[in-house]
Amino acid sequence: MLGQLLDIMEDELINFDILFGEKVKDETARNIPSIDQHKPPFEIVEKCRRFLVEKGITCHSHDFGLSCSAPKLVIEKVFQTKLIKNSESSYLDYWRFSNSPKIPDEILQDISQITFPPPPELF
Amino acid sequence: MEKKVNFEVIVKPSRDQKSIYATDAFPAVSNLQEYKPPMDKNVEVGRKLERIGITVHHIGEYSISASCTAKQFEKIFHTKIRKHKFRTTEAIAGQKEFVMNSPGQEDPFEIPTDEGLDQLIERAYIQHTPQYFSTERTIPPFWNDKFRLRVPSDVAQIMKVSSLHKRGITGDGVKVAMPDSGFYHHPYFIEQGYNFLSIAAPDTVDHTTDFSGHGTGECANLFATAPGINFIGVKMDNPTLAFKTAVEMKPDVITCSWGYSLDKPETSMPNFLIPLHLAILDAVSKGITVCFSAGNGHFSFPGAMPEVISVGGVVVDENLNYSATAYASGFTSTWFPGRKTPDVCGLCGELPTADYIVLPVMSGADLEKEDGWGAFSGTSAASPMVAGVCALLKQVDKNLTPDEIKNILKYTAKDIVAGTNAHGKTAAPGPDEATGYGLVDADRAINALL
Repeated sequence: MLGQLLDIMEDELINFDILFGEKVKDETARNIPSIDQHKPPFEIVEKCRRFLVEKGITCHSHDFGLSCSAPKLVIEKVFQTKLIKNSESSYLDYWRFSNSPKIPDEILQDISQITFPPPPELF
Repeated sequence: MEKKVNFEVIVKPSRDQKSIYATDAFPAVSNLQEYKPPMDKNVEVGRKLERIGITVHHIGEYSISASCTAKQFEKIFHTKIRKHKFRTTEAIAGQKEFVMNSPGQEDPFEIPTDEGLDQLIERAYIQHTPQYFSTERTIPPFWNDKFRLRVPSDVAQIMKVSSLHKRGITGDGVKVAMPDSGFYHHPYFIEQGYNFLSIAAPDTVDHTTDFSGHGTGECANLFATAPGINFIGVKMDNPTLAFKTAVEMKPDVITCSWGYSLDKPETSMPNFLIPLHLAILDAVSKGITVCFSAGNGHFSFPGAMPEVISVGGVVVDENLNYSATAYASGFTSTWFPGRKTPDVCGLCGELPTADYIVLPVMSGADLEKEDGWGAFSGTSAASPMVAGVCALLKQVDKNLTPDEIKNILKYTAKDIVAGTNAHGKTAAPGPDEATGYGLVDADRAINALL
């Protein structure tokens, strides 16, 4: 138990974003006139935030979802799958789940996607 | 690659000599001989150290300089090497933390008995990389190896803001936010009297530390065009969270000198960018003018979003020849059909290194060249310059919308008709993909309003 706690403490913090509601695949459909349609109800965001905070995940809520961070082991435990870091130079593959994550039942209906933002390039 | 440790070995004194570690030892030039072990003894120790796998670099009269891997050191001296961090004083500009790898007070440490070394060696100490007590100049240095621009004067003059500043149009009362690598409170900013505030996005700490130098340096371009703004630098880790943190500060303008080179032919936006896309749309819908660098040869997102001001690069040489630079992007977006970048340009260096503008950085930062200053300038430099001009427009008319600001900048820009950009697009009379509508002309932009 203590060993696992020490592993978590030494683990790298990983950032991820959570979006709610229907996934819109067409980027041109996301625009300023339609922006309010992408804002989920506050109660849903808050419910998920509380659930994830209880699981040890740091969450910052905003109009469109949650920006989260947690040690790798915590994320893997909550979503019951492994995280893989392929290459630091290829940002499409920076972090990803090895298999489909199992989203806990309590928030399964609410979450539409979980993404891991890699660091951008500084121009 | 295994971590290496450098250490100094002190040989035990002969019977008729004093130990340098004796409580009454007080070495001085006049008595130094009393502490000097016989040279043949030092040579003997050096050879024995080599026989147990240690690299001996120098056998001196008072100590032996040696190195080995950290693991070897731990094994040979029966000890444990730990990382110790110390905070330094603020007086040591830029270097807030000093790291030492060495055994702690509580750790065991034994001189090895192999080769009888315990009878010959008095002590062995790991030597650490020292702190560099560099100082940061308050004004940009002149480096004579090539033509470069200096902040604020050269940038202000070419962007045509100097006369506006004299008329009191400085961005006064306008809030500009900038998410980036960190914002070191360089003495240059203090000397210039800028309103300089930095904060940490919720997933970062220590917003005044900027080991890259990027955020610190690039914001000097913003102040060069708008010295009267209220600046908020947001230290970034997750860019989406940093951008949203910037929005929450309710700025008039946000400038970002970063992006992802992913808007390439036959691709679509990856899922991880959707939260950032939404956050930027939300900012613009709230009336915030958002400037993004178009990229340095990148197919950059968010720089290609139709809702942002996409800022490319123009280079101006010592003879005041203006041209597109092969360092800056300009392309047709795949993700946003019909969208061509950039909209307008700021100043940007030329290939191969674009070391064109002398900018302040934290001492020891990756981009430092000398004395707390570096020379760099991709479209990272151009975006904050243009954001500064947006701030001047907002000062004159608080009600301008992001679209109106973009249009004013476009239709008053200086057309660039020479040079080729990073994507091989050639500048020609009128708008083009090399420089968009051209280099922002702040004086003409403001005059269009008055």
